[in-house]
Amino acid sequence: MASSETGEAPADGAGPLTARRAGLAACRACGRLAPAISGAPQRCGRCGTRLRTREEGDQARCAALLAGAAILYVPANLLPVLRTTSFFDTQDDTIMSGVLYLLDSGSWPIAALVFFASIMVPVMKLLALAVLLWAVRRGTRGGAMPRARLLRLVHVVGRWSMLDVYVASLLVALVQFHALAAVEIRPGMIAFGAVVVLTMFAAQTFDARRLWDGADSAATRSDRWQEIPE
Amino acid sequence: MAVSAPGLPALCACPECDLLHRRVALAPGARASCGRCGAALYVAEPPPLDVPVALLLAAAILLAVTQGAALLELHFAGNASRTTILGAVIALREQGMALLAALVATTTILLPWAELLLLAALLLPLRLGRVPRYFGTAARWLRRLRPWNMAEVLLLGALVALVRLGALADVVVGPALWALAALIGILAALGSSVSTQALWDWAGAVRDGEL
Repeated sequence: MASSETGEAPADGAGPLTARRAGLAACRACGRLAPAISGAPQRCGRCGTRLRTREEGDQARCAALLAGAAILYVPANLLPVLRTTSFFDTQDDTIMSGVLYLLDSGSWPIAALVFFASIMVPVMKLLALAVLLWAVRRGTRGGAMPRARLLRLVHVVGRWSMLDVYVASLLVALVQFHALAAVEIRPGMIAFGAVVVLTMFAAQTFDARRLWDGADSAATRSDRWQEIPE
Repeated sequence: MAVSAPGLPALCACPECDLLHRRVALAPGARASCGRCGAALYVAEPPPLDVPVALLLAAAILLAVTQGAALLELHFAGNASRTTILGAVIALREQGMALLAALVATTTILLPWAELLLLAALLLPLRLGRVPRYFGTAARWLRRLRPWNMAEVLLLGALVALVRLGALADVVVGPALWALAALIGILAALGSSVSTQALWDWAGAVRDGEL
């Protein structure tokens, strides 16, 4: 649709000049730059958001949310999420057996979709965020670009794992024919919903700029922030 | 636009990797992206304000239909049942799943309305040539709430439910499902035209008396 143009980076030859190295803080909400005052709590002069060169404690908060999600991931996948009662029998389904049921009933595209949203996406989010947290902690210098791509992917696919929660809610509301057939939600679904919410919060907490800080400190030794182009 | 320090508006930092860039003049329709990580930086100019205002009105009507009308209807062994989004929330609540009911109600009822209300609170005063005092707070909340509006996930969920039940019973697609599909298109258009940059560009233009 629109043509792409690369913004011009300041060409001072001293490696990547970030806002932080230039003594500036960019507002995370509106993007406005302001001189960073170290030590003092600061708010964006335009929109009032707390201004920091990097979010404080984002890694610890992300790790805590992720740990919670990882713990709940176990009951989310082991406990039944749905109970189907019919005239003949009662059947409990886990997330995985729900996918297999779809596969059995012949609708493999839908089965693949639910497998992706309910099984692949949660695992991918847990692993990806763990890898990213670990990389920042170790201060790895290379490989920032693939990591940035991974974090973007986590943001894009993250919400889709809510799919099963909605499917189950609709089944429960529709299939209430008393003795003939009824669908009931089982506690596994609470754990599953919690995993989705916690991993989404964890991804939103992660300050993407940290992925590049290792590369920045490696590439430049001298502090040449005076040379910001006017 | 508000100027805090000399030279600063001529710069911008990449939101994802913090790299500083000098702002360059862009051709209409072009967008600048980060020279290091490729994240979107800014676009040439925001779209006219009338477009999102019109989209907002359409979105409000579609959201009302999405939530008021039946999503799916089921015919099974001489019985029939139908459900709205609120019906699904109530069904969850009746099964003692208050937490899940709250999650579904928040993501499919409360947040979509909150998003539209925030957009109205931001755009309508701008349209009337004023920048309200709460503008910054509202813009921040809009940005924060957007990832939690799951209209397209709900649509896909309804389709999966339709396929699952279709094997056993007659399922009829309700008007809310069509409205939901249209709403997703409108929300996507709203999301791309009302970017954070666009909001502040409009506000700057209003303050400068250009809008």
